[in-house]
Amino acid sequence: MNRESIQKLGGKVVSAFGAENVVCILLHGSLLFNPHLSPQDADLVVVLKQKDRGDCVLLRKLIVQSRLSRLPVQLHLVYMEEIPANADFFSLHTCGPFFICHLRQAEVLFGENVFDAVSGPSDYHLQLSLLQKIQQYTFQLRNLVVKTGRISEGELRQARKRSIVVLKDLLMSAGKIVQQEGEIVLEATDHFRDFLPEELEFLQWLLQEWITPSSDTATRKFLQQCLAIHERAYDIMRKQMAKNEKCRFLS
Amino acid sequence: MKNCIVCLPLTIPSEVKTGLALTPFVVSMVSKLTGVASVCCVNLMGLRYEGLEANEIAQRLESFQKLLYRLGTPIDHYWIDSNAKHIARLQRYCENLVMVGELQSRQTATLICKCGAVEMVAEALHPDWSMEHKVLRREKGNMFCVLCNMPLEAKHKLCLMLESRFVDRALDTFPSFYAKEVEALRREFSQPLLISRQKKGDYRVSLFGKTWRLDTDFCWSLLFCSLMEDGFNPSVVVVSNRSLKPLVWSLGISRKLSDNLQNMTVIVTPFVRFERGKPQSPRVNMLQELIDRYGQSPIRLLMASGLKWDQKDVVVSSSTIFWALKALSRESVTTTPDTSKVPLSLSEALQMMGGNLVDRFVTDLRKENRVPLSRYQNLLFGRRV
Repeated sequence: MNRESIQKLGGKVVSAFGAENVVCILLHGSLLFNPHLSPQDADLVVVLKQKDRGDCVLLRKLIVQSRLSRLPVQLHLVYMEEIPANADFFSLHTCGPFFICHLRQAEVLFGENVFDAVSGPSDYHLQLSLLQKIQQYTFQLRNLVVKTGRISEGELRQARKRSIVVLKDLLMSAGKIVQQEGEIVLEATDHFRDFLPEELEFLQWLLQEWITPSSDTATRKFLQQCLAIHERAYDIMRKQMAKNEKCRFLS
Repeated sequence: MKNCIVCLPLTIPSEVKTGLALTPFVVSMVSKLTGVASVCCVNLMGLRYEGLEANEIAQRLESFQKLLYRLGTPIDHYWIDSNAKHIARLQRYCENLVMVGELQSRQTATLICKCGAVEMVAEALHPDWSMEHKVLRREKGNMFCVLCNMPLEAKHKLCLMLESRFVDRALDTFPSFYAKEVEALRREFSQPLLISRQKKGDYRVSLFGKTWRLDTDFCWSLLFCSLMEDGFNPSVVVVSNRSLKPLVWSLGISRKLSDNLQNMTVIVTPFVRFERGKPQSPRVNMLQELIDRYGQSPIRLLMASGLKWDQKDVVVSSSTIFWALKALSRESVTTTPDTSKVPLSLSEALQMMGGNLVDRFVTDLRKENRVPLSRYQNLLFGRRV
């Protein structure tokens, strides 16, 4: 049902902006790769040829009309002139050049995947952008663990999701682009032997159906475990980056 | 009829290796430069697909087509051996071969394995000529099928035999040094070939008052005749130097049925192996992983680098991608590209496509020399010709 609605939304975007102006509409993220895990949002990228000041307002209107109320749409609007020929100069939201590789695996709802025509990223920028993303996720999760107020369901789910995403990023740094959660955990723990037994056990638990922690104590424990995974991934990534002479960490 | 450039049928695996896409890559590039239509032939029948559901096979074809598209090497027309139109034509092709005395029914001693993957004439002078040579193993003078691992059993059966003395018509090859090899292969094809099957084979024809199962390789080998009925004139065919035998076989059979297949040029690609450089780089022999990781232009340059016409075996290291990325990042130093629309001749296009020229071009760009772009280089860079 969600997929159908997204497809319809894509059709409406093409009608509203004109087929000649829409370069491509891409679906990526959990709705595409892990639909069995009750995705929290639908990730779309719309690439347009020509810029108009009313574009964002029109897109918002189309999303509201599509009544995807149960599935918020995370839509990124990009213009052709903003896409660099060299992926090293690209970033989207919190993601750097590596995200081009991810977008190349998106499902094309309309047009041609323009990111196939972008070159790279170079190995250096791929590694650097992955390191920065794991850094960002780790520091954000530390903030959440320190937070004194109530932890929302959304924050908990995000911590869970990101605990697997950081493994996906590790795999990408090793040249493997994997999208399905089960496969990510399996491949990452097989490739990187640094995980402790309790971390491996927690990762297996994460793959099971989501159950909201029942108490504040359980919530805090869950976040600590997620942080342990983030920090392990960050540690592995730092070690990898330290092999590059340009990158040195203070000990 | 539309002139076309064509490659021999490709069997599509679940994961497409970079080397497999090399012949369609050449087909697409030459097509764009010379203006002739591009045709990619695909084999969707036979041993490699056993046990797969029809939708899984269709999915493989669709993924392969998408992959070529993503590489920026689209194909105008796909010829599929399992296509209903082609299958319907087989009866007529066989009847015509019977009429000219090239196809006969004979009591013949055959060798057959338990699973049916291997069936061959027992007295075959050159067992290598059997199209099943890939699934044959010789051990202490006995022949075994590598699939069922059983020795071949002798059986005396009524069989369909094809006369395989192919007519003496030379082929133009590029590079020209393959001409002798092709001619030698043509001459050596001189024994009657078994084309009926007892166990395997999905195509059936009625001849000599009997229904016969046909060998899958025989069926696809009639592709040139079938293409002409589809309105294409195959004037150029692209093969890897490891596929010269199937080329001689398929062209030889098709020429028995048509006089219109005389002037054909064969482009022979070297056998190219793509090797991984650094351990953290993606599997360089897996095309989809490469495109996902680097995009289409670096991979086109990688593949183009392998087309060193003066060599028979070429090894391309993944480090080529690193240099290609460096070159592409300096794309702005190129001078105005050649945007002429006049189609090139085949020889002009092929000279332009030499892998050594591609390597020099990448080096020049890295050194920030101003480089005039040829039309082929425009295509490699993803610019429209």
